[in-house]
Amino acid sequence: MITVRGLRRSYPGAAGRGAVGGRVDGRVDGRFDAIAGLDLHVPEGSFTSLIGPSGCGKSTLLRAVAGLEDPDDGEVLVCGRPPGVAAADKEIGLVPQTPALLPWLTVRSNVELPARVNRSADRRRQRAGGVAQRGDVVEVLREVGLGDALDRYPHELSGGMQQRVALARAVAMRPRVLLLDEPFSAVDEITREALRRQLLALWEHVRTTVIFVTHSVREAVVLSDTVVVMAGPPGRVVDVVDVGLPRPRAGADLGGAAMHAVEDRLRRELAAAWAGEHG
Amino acid sequence: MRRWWHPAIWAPAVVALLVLAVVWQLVAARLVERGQTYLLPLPADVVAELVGSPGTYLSDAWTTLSTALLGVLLGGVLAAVLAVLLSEVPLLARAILPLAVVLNTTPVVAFAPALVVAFGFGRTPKVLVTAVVVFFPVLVTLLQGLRAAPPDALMVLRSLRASRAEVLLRLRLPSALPALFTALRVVLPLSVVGAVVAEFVAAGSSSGLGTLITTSAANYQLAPVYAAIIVLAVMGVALLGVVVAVERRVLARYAPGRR
Repeated sequence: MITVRGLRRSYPGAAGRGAVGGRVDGRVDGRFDAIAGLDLHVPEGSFTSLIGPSGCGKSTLLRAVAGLEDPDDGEVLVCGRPPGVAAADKEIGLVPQTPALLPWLTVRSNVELPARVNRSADRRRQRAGGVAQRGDVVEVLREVGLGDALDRYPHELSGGMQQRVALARAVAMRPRVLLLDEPFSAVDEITREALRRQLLALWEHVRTTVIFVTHSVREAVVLSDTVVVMAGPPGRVVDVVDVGLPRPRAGADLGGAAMHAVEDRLRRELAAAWAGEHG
Repeated sequence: MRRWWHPAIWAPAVVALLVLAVVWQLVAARLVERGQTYLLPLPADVVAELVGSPGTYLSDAWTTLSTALLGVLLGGVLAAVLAVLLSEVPLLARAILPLAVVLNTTPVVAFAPALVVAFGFGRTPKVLVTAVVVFFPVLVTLLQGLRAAPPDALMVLRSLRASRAEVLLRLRLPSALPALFTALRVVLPLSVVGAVVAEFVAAGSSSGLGTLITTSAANYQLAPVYAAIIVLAVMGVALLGVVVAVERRVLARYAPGRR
């Protein structure tokens, strides 16, 4: 579904600061490798989390899958096509770190925004598959508990509600791939738990392929089928851990030995990854 | 927030104004006693001047105001179009922006005599001077506003492959509204300066408060000069008031919680 092979992505680094010529700390000739030689496979319909220390290239990888960054080396395929082509068909839903809602639009209009731009994608989809299978905006907003907030403006909502609108905006157009970049990092822990449950409930309903970037081990384990542990810079995959906890988890009381075992394993690996960069 | 009608808000300004009027009266009376009538007119004479021929002042004020507003329209629209163009074509911005920044700090009213030479004594050069004065502040401020669109929202639109026109219309332009009002607050009072200076340079040709000031001053008639200055001050304050009122309404929708 999503395949990444030998991905390298570099940025112009701090020129003259160390590393002239040779490869030191991921810097090559004044360029800085955010990701180097990364392989990843995400099966269709699965929920995969990317976890790792700051600067390990999680967000860069996500942007590359979204077609917002061109690889310097290697390839990224989304549904067997380059991400740019998938994005042009509006098959990629993105939830950024901040809700990024437009303050002059109501909740409903914000969620309708994806349908209003790049309409040629919808026409293509219609020609190919008959009906345009986009989700119903009001329906999705109800599912995330915002059925009463349709005509309110973003500044009238709490941070958690705004992030739910951002989630609904990405999901409403029924993307084949849903990418979330630490979407719950700016809200408090209690709101976070509620948002996780809502994301799970929504996803169990609308099965898309999900990549979820997070800093939280608990979050990764609770949500995912697979947790990808990354280290860097330069960003690379250290381990791929199958969570193997039963679903549905949205309403279930999670915890117990199985979950803690996975959490402990991830924590050890993250500690090792962190020590590898800083030790 | 305390409201403007609360005495604590407006009383200090009113007191300061009264003090100023009293000082003016005392100084002017002293000067008149000494026979130095050409230094400062009595406030009463200025008021009498205004009350005596309100029609003249109104029509002159309208001439100057309409020149200023036409200049704002012309300079503002051209600057806005160029700002959009520069925000969409970075290469063009790199070429033109340094020049615009230099000209923004140049007292462009200095162009006035040249424009009068080029376009004669009619309304055209006066509108052009005002437009030139207005152009650069609008360009620079609006360009900043267009570039200040929130990056995460941009990322969402790009992940949907929204066209540049869609990004511009749905995100960049609305995001630039606060900057537009910042520009208008600077530029509307400035446009009156531009119009008056243009009238100074091309005086004697037509009506206008600037013309009134130069012709009266040339005849040592100070009361009309000060009367015209007061009308100009009121005009500037009124323009600013209108902008702020519209800004409040618009930004309450487009940028809530910014102030």
